[in-house]
Amino acid sequence: MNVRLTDVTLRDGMHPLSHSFTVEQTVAIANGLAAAGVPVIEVTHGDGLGGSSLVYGRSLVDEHELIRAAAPVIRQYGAKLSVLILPGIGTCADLERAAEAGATVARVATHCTEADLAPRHLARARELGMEADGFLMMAHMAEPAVLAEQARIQEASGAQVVYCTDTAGALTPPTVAARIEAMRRALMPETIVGFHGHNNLGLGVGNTIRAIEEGAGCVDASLRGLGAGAGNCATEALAAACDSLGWLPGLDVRRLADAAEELVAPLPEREPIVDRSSLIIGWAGVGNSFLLHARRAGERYGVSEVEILLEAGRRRLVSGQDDLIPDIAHELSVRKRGSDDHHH
Amino acid sequence: MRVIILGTGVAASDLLERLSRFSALDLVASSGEENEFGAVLRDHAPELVFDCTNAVAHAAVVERLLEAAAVVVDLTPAGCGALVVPAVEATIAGVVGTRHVSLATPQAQMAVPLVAALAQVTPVVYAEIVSTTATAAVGVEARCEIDDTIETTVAALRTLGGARVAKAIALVGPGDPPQAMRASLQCLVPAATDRSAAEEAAAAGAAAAACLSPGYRLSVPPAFEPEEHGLLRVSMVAEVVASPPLRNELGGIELLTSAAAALAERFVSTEVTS
Repeated sequence: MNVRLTDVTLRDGMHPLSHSFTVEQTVAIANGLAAAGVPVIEVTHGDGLGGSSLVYGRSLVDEHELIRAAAPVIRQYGAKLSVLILPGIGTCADLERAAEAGATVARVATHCTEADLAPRHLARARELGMEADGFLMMAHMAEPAVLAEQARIQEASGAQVVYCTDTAGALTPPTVAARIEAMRRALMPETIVGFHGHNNLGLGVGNTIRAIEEGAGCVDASLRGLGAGAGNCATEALAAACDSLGWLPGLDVRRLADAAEELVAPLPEREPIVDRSSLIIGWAGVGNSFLLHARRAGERYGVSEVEILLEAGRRRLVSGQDDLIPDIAHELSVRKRGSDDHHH
Repeated sequence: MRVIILGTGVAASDLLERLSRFSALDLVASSGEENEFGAVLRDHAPELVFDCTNAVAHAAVVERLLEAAAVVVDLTPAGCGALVVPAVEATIAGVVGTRHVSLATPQAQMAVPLVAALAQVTPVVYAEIVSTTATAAVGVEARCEIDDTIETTVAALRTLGGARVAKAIALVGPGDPPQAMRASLQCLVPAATDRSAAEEAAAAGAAAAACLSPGYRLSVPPAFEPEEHGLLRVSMVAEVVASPPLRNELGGIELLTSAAAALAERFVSTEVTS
């Protein structure tokens, strides 16, 4: 099968590291991935271009500096450098700077029902000579027909690939298949359907395999699954699984296993796993980037992070609304104090 | 005073409604469409024009508007005129005598009163606003102006709010039922800042904003957290619920139209007294 892998270690993997990749780490990981045959490597703040902020966390090193450092390494192997941009966070000016620093693919991300925020950024990416892709986040919140309709909006705006993005890790093989199928039917044959998975229900690799089976031509993964919350589909595991199926032939499984073990495993931060909170994220359907914010807010206000995440799910918060997490924690603490007082 | 309101959206109709309360104003509404508005400009010879179209349309016609009228007030996020947040009295003085005035963005109308008040009591090293507007309140045109909204809000936070560095994030929330517009504001100030003075400043800024938009309130008062480099993080949340007949979630529109009406009132009184 002709499937293209985008590795997001240096973008989604920013989340568990609180956006602290250094130039040296970025170059080493980009080199390890490109040398192993990964055709697209994404480098951006975890929340996309312009994401460095008090609300999402400030980048240790400016993302454009990281892009500039990684670009020649990636280009040397004939691979592409991708950036993520969320309209509302990053602007066309950020896109221009990224292109100038060496990015050649722009993935324009919106909530799954807000595709019409993206046309200007998709068009600008095309004008800059970049590949322009659409990225429909929190895809579990839209029924397949709705998601397909939104994918058509991004296609009409110039998107060459449109991703079904399981930001919350809430999808399962049957619900992935239904979405990929609906998108394939709705889009023109030359438009590629993509899938971005998370591992909250332990389905990162499984969902991705199911998406490919259903016709997804572009998929995302990261080394050791390094990514927000429970983490992503693991690049090296996906490569090995696909190798046994005869898919994704250009990937060197041994080199990817080495890169995962030698470059990512030693990182000091907590590795993404399916623990109580990240499982709750997938089950309640909230964005994985909320995990660390919920943990901090929970500690600060003395409430359980699980309760915060469940409440975020009830309020149907979408990607980017991390600023509501402290409010929710504060409200829960007030409510808790009220009921404690009542009991005494 | 002869006034033209350009635009076909909710902002234009709400502004028309607000301005029709002033007997001194002779109001004409225009769609802002090319073929129609040329005739309106010629026949009505306006002294004051309010542009409620969109940022792209505003940039395209502003030269012609300035030829026809003495003062042009822009309600789009184009941000090419002199920025003003009427809830902050000092910013009005800055645009007196200016012919091209910009009301920046709802985000700016929401955050600048708080930042400017804080800047009165302590240097604001950095200000960051994260706004969420309900999907139902963001029309097709506004969706294409999201970059203008960010850039003009940043400019207003710096020039009118007094923040040395600013950042704006503008989110659209699909929650159902649609929620009121909200904005989280985080500022970095020197650690030695007097916290009670900062709290009082924020409350005063919010009260000034609420004078124009009664549904404006500080839903979470300032909280303080020490930061690195001898700084203090001040976080607060503001919310604005639109007044009837506007739907709840249209607080951002009301921030602009009530600000525009406040300016109109000022122009009328200046004309009468001068």
